[in-house]
Amino acid sequence: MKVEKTRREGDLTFTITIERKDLEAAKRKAAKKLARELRIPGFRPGKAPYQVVVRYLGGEDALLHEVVEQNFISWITKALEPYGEEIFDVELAEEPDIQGLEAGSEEITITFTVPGMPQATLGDVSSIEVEEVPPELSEEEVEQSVEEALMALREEHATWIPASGPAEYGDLITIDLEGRLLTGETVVTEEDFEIRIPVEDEDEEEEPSPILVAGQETQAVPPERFWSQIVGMSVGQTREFSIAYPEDWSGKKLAGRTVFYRVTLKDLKKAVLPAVDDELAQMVGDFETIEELRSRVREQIETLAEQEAQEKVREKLFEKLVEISEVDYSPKIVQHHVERLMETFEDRLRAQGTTLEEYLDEEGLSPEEYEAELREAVETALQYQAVLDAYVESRGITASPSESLALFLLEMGVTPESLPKEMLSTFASRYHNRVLRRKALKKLMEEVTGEEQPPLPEETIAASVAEKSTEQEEQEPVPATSAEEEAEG
Amino acid sequence: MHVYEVLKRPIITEKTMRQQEELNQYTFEIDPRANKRQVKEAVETAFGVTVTKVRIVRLPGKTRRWGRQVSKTSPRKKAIVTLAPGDTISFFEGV
Repeated sequence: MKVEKTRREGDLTFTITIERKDLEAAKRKAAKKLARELRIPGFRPGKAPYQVVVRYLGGEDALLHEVVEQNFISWITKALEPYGEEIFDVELAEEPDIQGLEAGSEEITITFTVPGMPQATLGDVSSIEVEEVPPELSEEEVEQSVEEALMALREEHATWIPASGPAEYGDLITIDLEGRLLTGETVVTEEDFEIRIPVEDEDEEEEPSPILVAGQETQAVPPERFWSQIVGMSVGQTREFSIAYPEDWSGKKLAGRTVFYRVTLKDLKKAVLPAVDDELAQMVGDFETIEELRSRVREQIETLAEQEAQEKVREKLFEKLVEISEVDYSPKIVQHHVERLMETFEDRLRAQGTTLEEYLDEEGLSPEEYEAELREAVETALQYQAVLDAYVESRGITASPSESLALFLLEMGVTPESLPKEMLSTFASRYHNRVLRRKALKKLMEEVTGEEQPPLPEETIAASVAEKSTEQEEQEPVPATSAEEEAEG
Repeated sequence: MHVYEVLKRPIITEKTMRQQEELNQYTFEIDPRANKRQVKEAVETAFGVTVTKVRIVRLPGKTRRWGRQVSKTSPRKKAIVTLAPGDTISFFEGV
């Protein structure tokens, strides 16, 4: 069998030729099989000789047809075998696009196309310039973040005490809720529904509250005006009011319509926040004084901001690399991914009891728009992946299993002891690609700036584990302490 | 009877194939009126071979029944022709 391969626009076109010798053998085999299946007069099944079968079929052509049918898949599989790495997906390759088939008594030629692996031609890395590193957080901003963090901690440790009213923003309320359209159709009914009135935020006045009315299939998201009606109510009071939803409301069912609500306030609790003092610090954790807590929070905010800024710069660099690189991929891959994504999404919706049509309706998207969105996302992902792969390969970047494991543990904030060993390796292998990506970004940064970058946390951990295991001669996957530290932060 | 009216068709079955291979004997359905001499002449003319022996089998018509109607299929005649050693007939041209 002769195999020829050409690559064009992401697709691999194969031309395979079955030569006389192989063809003859295949023909004999096909005739033998047919002899068993056909009832040829004068012969018991399987006993008719080759010539008789051919004559019975009405000639060579008919036999060739059978030969192709029998061997097609095995020929293609055999032809593709040595090119496994270059083919995008074996599953897809099993249904190749047949472009031509010429069957003669001397040889058979088959031309078919399968999607190839996306291939990136890297642009000139040296032409990338470093964006200016974003300015560090100002003292004021840090101070503000610290205050916000403290506030969050206070809210976390707040005590809720029952009150009779009036209700205010931030209170925890229990209500009976009923919402009807003018037609009498019920939009929402809830009994003993516990919810927190969101804290009023001036910046987002027009934004709908993100709180969904739970347990309801028609998720009516109450707009700000809903809460303003509730504020001021006392326990036991019932209020009726109507809300006109704007025309461009995201839920199509309610857009442009008026809903009549009836709300009874059954219970009300107000938060009493602990004061910012040493007591709070002790409540939160291992801190003696509020100053300790403050400085710790501050430290975390600063390192986090710095890491984020660094990450952003790297991501930007990579984006540029993608921009200047050329990626060659088959439209079939995109189609395949889009279909798969849609299927899984539809399955998930079905499990939730809705359909894709209903979902799109809620979101105000047409099926075409939705598909286009998916398509774009898939294409971007493909480009990124291809450029990353090309970069990783050209620079010889590798990732060890222990590094993948370290990153997994860091991100999940778990200790290796808390999971069974087999699971660890499976999870860790999923992080392999991410470690490669992070390493690639680091390398890219080094290349562009010409400065050495600090090692990634997973590299440090993996290195220290390697050292430890050689010292102790005892296998310990990853030090638990570092993972725990991350979990606290 | 003309020489080309004698042979009707070769009979190809497992049995006759075996006879061809092992005994160099070829079987034909022939016109019921034909005799051994005519068969010999016909085969020799048609295939350009030497015939050493001809044996003839008469196949009487079979009774066929369709409800109350009884009918008979036509009687046939079969000739088993032995060729001189080295001579062959190819029924499958080009295969």
